[in-house]
Amino acid sequence: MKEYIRGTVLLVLGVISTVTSWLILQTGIAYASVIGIALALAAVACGYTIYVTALRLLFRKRITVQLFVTVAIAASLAAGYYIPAATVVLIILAGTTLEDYVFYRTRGSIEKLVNMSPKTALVRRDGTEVEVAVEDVKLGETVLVKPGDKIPVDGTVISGYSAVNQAAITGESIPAEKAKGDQAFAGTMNGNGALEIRTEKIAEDTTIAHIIHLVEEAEEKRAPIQNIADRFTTYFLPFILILAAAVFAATYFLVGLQPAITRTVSILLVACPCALGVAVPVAVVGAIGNASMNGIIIKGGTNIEKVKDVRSVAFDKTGTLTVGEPKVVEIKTLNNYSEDDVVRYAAIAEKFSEHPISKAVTAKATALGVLIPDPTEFKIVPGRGIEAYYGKQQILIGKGMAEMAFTAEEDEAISGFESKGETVLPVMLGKQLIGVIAVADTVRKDSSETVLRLKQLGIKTVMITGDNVRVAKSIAGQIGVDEFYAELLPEQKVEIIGKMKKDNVVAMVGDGVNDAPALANADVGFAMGAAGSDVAIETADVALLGDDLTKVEYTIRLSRKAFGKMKMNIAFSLAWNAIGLTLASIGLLVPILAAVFQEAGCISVVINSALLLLHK
Amino acid sequence: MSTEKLTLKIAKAEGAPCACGSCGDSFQKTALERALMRLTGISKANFDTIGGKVKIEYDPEKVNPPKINERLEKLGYRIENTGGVS
Repeated sequence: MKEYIRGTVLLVLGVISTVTSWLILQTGIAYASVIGIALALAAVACGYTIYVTALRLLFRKRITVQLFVTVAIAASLAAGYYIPAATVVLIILAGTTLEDYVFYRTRGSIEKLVNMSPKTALVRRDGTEVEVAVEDVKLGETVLVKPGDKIPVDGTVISGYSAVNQAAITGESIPAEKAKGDQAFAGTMNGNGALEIRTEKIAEDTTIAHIIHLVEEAEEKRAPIQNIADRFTTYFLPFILILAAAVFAATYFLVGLQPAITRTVSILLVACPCALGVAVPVAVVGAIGNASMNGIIIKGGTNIEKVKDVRSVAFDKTGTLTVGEPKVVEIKTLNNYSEDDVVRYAAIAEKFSEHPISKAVTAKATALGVLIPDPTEFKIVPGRGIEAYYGKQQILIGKGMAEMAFTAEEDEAISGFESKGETVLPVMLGKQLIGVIAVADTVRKDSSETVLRLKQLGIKTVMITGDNVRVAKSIAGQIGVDEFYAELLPEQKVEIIGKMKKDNVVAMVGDGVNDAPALANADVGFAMGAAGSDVAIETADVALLGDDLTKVEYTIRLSRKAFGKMKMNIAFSLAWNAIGLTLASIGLLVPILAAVFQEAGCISVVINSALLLLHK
Repeated sequence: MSTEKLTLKIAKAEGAPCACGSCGDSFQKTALERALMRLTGISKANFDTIGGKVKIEYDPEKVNPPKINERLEKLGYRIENTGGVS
């Protein structure tokens, strides 16, 4: 049974017994005291887990807080304080039950991901569709996903078209379009179209199962600050025993036996270094749980502490700060031709080329609604451009193809684009230049915002790229990074990170595959768009499952907040215990209040940590 | 569907046990039991934190002890002895 449910049942029984006991003791009926005491003892018995735990641990030579509580309760009963003893038990029971509930909720943050995975799949077998349990789907089988259903396996779309909400994995709420050849992930939500998917991974091997396991493992990894907390804990219990003995002796000689017992019982009840033991782990789990719901996997408490110290972030350019695919960014028309004409002729010539730049041109034509007829003839001239014929018309693309001199106006159009770091495609019809198309890799729409937000956190931003200085300068200017390094070989990227590390803590953001060495050399490696690559997820310190760059800043803010809570909890716990022990020692905290005081401290820190789940 | 039972003696690989047994132990118990139950084929998991024993009921067709051991190790536990299949 869930711990908190059992706790609640015991608590209700205990409260009923205690109240009835008190009421019966007020009446003068026959055997009132016997029945009343029996009921109070029944209530005390509801806290049996405390005594059982205490004794089991004592047999293992471990003296714990539960033992203190047990001794305190026994002393109260021996002194004839039945109802107060029952009340103390119930207060402690209420506290631990509430804690168990918070733990259950905190540990359950990834349950949202788990519930994303459907239990059955619709599989095409022997010409019909059968519904089978997900773990019984065989690799290579075709799974049908109806509109609005969840995708049950990882695989490749073989037919159909739909927009799929991948928030479960990437944390991005904007649906991703899926057509033939695209990767689909188990646990994501199909939109309005039907999809047929060839099964490539099932059950434990799917991306979502990997993510869940990684989050579970990350939650178990301690934060280094826990060592500080543990050091206090080591001295805590011996200190309490000495204090209790000293207070007992002093009070006995100065005041008397009765107050000596009360004060000692209070000291034993108020002593619990709860925050030291558990508030840090709860904060780790809260932060990692929060991150996982946002498509971020932080690999353990150590990385939370490292991320919070990051003072500079190095970004790879292509595919990280930029989309990574060239796009038509500008079109300059010349000699009275329209934009549609320029794009049409260029697209005809580029239609059968697989080059990314050609694809950018044909994509632009499609976007403008321009029809692209097939070229009559088509030839790629390596390193120079394309020569094509449409009917009798000759189309030449590329600067190297021009057989005539450009006019001053034409030259200016070309060099203007080039200085911006764009790739220039002059489009010629016969011997006439009809326009110039500029193609460039475009900046991701969230790049500037991310850089700006990082600056607001006092973090320096640097772009490192293998691309040429002109392109790098243009992109760096558009995004607003503080510094950039261009024309770098992969090993030079590693060197730059090494140099940056001499000054402060450095994070590197990249795709996790091409930049793996630089990512590994940085203090913290962020892999972006990691959902498709198991290697990137495994090796990164922080894996961003989607393509949302702003999550870098989110992770840093979340880590700073989480670490703040850990420090705050340790400080609060030490202070709270010091106050409690002082009050108990001088007799200002009666046992019942001591129990309330202790539980209030514990619950405050646990809830404070668990609230990280709600951080935005 | 057949079910087999497995009892393993385990210990947290890193870090001393918390002095305040109750909260820390209950936090670990919740985590381990839930993580094991999320593994395909495991129907029941009970972690006795004081004795350091975890009792697992599983379907041998879907999961096996080596796979369970691997999961426990990845979750930061050291397996001290295998109680054997009963």
